[in-house]
Amino acid sequence: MRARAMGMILCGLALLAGSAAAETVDEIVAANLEAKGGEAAWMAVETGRMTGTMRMGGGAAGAMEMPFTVEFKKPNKIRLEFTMQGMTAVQAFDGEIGWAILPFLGKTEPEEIAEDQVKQLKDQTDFEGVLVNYKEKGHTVELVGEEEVDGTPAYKLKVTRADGDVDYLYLDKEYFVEFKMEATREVQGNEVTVSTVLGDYKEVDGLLFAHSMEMAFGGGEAQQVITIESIELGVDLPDDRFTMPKKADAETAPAK
Amino acid sequence: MKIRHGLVMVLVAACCAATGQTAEVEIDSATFGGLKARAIGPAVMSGRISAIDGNAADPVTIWVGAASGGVWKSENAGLSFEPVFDDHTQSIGAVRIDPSNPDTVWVGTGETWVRNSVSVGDGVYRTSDGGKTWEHLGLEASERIAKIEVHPKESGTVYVCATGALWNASPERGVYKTTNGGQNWELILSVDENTGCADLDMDPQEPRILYAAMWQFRRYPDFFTSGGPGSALYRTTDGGENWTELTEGLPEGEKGRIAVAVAPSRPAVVYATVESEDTALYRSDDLGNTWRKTDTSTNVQMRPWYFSELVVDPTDFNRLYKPGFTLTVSTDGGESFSGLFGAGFSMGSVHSDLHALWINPANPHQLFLGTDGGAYISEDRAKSWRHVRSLPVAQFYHVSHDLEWPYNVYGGLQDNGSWKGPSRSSGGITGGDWKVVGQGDGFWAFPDPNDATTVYVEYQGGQLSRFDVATGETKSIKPFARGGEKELRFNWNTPIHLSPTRANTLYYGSQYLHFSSDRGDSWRTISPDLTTDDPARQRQKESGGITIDNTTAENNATIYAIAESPLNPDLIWVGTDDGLVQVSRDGGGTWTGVSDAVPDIAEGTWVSSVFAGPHAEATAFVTFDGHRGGDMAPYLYRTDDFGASWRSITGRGIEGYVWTVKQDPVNPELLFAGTELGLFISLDGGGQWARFSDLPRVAVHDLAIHPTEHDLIIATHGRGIYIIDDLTALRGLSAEIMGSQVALLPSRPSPQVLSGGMAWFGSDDEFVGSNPDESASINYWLARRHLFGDLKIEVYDAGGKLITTLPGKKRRGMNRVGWPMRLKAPTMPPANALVMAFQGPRVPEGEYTFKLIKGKEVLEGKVELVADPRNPHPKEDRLLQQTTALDAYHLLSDLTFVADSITDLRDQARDRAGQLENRERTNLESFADDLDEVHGTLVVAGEGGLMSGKEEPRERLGGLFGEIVSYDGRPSDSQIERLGGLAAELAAKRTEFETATAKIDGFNRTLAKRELAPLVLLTREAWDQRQEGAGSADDAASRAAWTLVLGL
Repeated sequence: MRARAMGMILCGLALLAGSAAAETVDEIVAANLEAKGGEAAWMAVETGRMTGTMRMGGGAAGAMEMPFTVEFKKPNKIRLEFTMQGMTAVQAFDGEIGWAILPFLGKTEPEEIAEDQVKQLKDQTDFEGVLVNYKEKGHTVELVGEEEVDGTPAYKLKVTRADGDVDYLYLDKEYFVEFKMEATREVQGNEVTVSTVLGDYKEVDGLLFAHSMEMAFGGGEAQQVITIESIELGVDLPDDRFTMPKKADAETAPAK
Repeated sequence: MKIRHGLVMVLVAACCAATGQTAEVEIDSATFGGLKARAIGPAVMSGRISAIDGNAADPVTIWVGAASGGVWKSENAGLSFEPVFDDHTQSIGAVRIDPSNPDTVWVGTGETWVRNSVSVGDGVYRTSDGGKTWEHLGLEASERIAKIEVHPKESGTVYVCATGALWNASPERGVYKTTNGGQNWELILSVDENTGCADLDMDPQEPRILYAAMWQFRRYPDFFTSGGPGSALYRTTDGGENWTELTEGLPEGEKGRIAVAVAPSRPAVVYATVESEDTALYRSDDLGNTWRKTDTSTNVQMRPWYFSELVVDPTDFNRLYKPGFTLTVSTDGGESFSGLFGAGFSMGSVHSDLHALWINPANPHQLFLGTDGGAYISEDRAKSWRHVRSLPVAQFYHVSHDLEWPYNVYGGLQDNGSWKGPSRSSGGITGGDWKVVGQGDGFWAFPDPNDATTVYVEYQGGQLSRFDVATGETKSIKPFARGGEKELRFNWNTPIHLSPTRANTLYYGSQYLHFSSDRGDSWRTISPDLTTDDPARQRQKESGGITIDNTTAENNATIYAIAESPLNPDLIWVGTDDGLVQVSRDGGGTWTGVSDAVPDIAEGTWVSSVFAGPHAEATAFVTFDGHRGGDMAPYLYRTDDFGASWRSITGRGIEGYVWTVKQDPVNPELLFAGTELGLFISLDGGGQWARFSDLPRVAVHDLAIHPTEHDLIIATHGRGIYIIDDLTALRGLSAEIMGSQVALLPSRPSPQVLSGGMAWFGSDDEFVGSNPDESASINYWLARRHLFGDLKIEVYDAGGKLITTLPGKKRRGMNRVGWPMRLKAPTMPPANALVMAFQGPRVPEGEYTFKLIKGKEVLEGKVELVADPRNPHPKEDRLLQQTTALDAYHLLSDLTFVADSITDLRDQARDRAGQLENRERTNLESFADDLDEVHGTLVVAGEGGLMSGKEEPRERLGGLFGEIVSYDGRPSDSQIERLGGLAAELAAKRTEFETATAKIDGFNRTLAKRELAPLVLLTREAWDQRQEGAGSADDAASRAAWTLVLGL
């Protein structure tokens, strides 16, 4: 609650809020969750749907813009759809099986996907973020230190996930929300680091969500930018939206 | 409502914005925010490599230390390399992998191949995670480290061979030891403050035995000396507690640089090259107790201070490699050597001047070699070599450019000639894009501004030439001493200066200033000796110490910098390497020394650059560089009265001795400085500086500002050329803007670069330089990182219609967002494969309005789009291309609408049919099947995909659209005719569909009877809404606006 109290102080002191409010990793995590709406409120959310636009590439050729929808259902279900030239691709994980429909080269039947891709989907099922209820999830969090990231003072947290993967989170020292994440994952047997810059935080049903994600793979400029246009929480999502359809009835209804 | 915390904080920040303005704005690296520098290489000639290490257990992982280009790691046996040391000094002396833990690597900074142009280090670093992060572990003042030895079993025990300072006496040198992984260091062998450690080798079987070569040496601005009473070879047998000088059989009297190497397969055998009156190879068979002189071949004797490396084959103690001017090998235990690159001076394919060699202990046929021209790999025991083309560590001295579009850059490199390369090239800038235009050590290189086939180039010591790019001919045009003049003294790096005001006119500097108005065919001397002419500074013929080494590298009392004022051809500035600044205001008729008026600078300090101000005639800038006397501080000065008085502009924030300073030609407060430690920018005329951090911590020797592209071209001595594209935004970064929370910054007009440009498949073993971003740039300032609420940019056409929305960048400082200058990709109906139509049509050139939306704040700005300067297409052709593309674009929308209407109705019919029975059901089912059939004549559906070869209007129209948008000129008549045909075909299909829909009323009566929902036709309005504006641009309105813009 200290962080909230700091929010009320006069503007001249606001810049000191970070350093004054939190020193230990527990205090920093607590301030982060508090700033984003409170841990209990996050844990109370069972389902969600986000829609927006993915942009890949850039330059004079222009970014390829693809509308997308992601649906989540706790504890570990996810369905992602994106559309290109009118064709909609699906990637989903139902808690056990990861599958995809990739129609761009003429294949409309669902297929099971490779283990490392399943892993990426699984990681994304945790839409409330790794810090919510992290101890129960089996993650550990350490405060690595304070760092200036692209000119912004930040707390650097190291999250070791239950499965051993490591993420780094950079929390704005003033507002405690994360504005950058770095995740190192094994893809096709090689290590790849994905860094994501988060921004455009907006409130949805009392929870603070980033509505912009700029993702860079292996360093350098962002190659993929995600803009979220709407977020609905507590939507009705039957389990079978996440399970792999039988090949005959592949044409499942697109997201509402 | 716990969320209120965040929202309150946002309000608090806004309150600060209103009251938190300060008079002076402090700048730091983040001020420049997202301003990027792109590396264009080259790597084709690479640069000096000073250290290499590998690991027998994992021979695909190779570490390379570049002389002034940092540390590079390959995880594919040298195919490609990644830089892993960009945040630290780029001068590397030693790289050593911990034998017990290959992810732990020690780096000793500060190269010890101590040529005149060598850079400086700052101690020892270690990584424990394979190069991701580094820890600085002291010995800051050692300046250079030649070798590091890690105990084979105890990771914490490490020996550092610290060569020490080059240009001054210093106590921090000798052999250091740590037993706790670098937490503390003990100096275990030292001689005196002029003698450091030049080589160190450990007995691989008995790691308490080490051999250390101590070396007395010193460099001055005008002299180098290797050797003295301090030089000697030592051995310890107890891990460094006690040392014995080894003398028996070694030369008596003064020695110079010594290299020592233990034979790994029989450690009793030790070899050493010893610089002396008769430099030779010595061999010991008894752990160094006694020595025997075995060889004095040329490659063993040559330049011992520069070539002092000796490597014994890991499995054959009689096979010994001597990297030197060339690579020679002995197969008889050092009794004799023969060349590996052919006989005599024939070098074969490998660059001369070798400094590092690693042989894979598990496979001695595999060798990694470091030369003045990069790294080479042999897989056949040094018989043939592959040059590594993925190490962009080029060591430029200077850079210039031409006025072509795209422009080319030119520059000379240490031991790697002079080169010309493009600032952009289709598919990226590859090695093949670079052309060699000069030989030897290259320095200044200038294209003739009036004749791009002519390049003025030089090599070391004043060898000036004119190169013809078209024919490849070189004509020597250097001046000679004329009647009454002394022998000309040319600096190693002799200044060439092209007149900024007159064609065919150039200056050249010896101790005199030479002037030519006929492209160098004849010269007039327009000054007396402008140097001190101090005989004490003219000792180059005796330079070298024990071994004379007179290569012009120590030439002194010479002119080093020349600048003619761009505002007055009679105003000429000159700076000398012996500390004088001279000015003439009458075209060289009379000269005035003005350096006495420069405050706080030691007499005789090298003038590293002079720059004549482009804004006011009386203004000039000079930089001084004292590093060759051991003074590493920055010195920058400015005069506004023709040199009568000078004031320091060495404001806070600048680090490293200074090579150059440039005043921006547009914004007089904007200064750029290149120092040994990087690029620094001042926004207030030198009051404060900040590092430009999107660049490795590399020496910046020269800078050029392109007058029409407004790019900053950066010559690094170790990492090739970098370019910061478009300085316009930086020029607009005023104190007022930096005092605001959010503000727009200007950008240059954006050319719509012609589509196309062929590029073929590449290869990971070649470095490819980056091209500029070819989108239009929208620039703005943020006082802090944007976190809460929207940050986006909306772009509007001349008619006020929204063209696109772009996500904003969010970092503190400057931000740059690229707009591709196109409409969105066309709308397409679903089918079974992608069509080559991924980009929307280009918008026409002209002015566009954008809105930067940050939360509730909206700032409105403009961007200007212009044609590609090479554009060969008349306006009416471009308009026809754009309107035809737009027609196809809208036709695709119409097609998608029709196809969607059909499938929508079909799905409704099937849905209702499922709720009916008997004939009612089959009637509706058959209606749905009929619709499906119509749909199948519009798009290719079903399985099969790209390779099915099937085409329907979607595929044909999509393909035609893709063809038209990828060429910026007039579409072919056939394309236009084809488009008309497809439009007619679509109209016919539409009619077919509309005819079929006549049955709807009948079905709806049945459905009403059964109390089922009626079939509803999709309307265009509803469909447009579903597309959320994509592809629904108002045809007539936007075409009218385009015609307006193009003036047709």
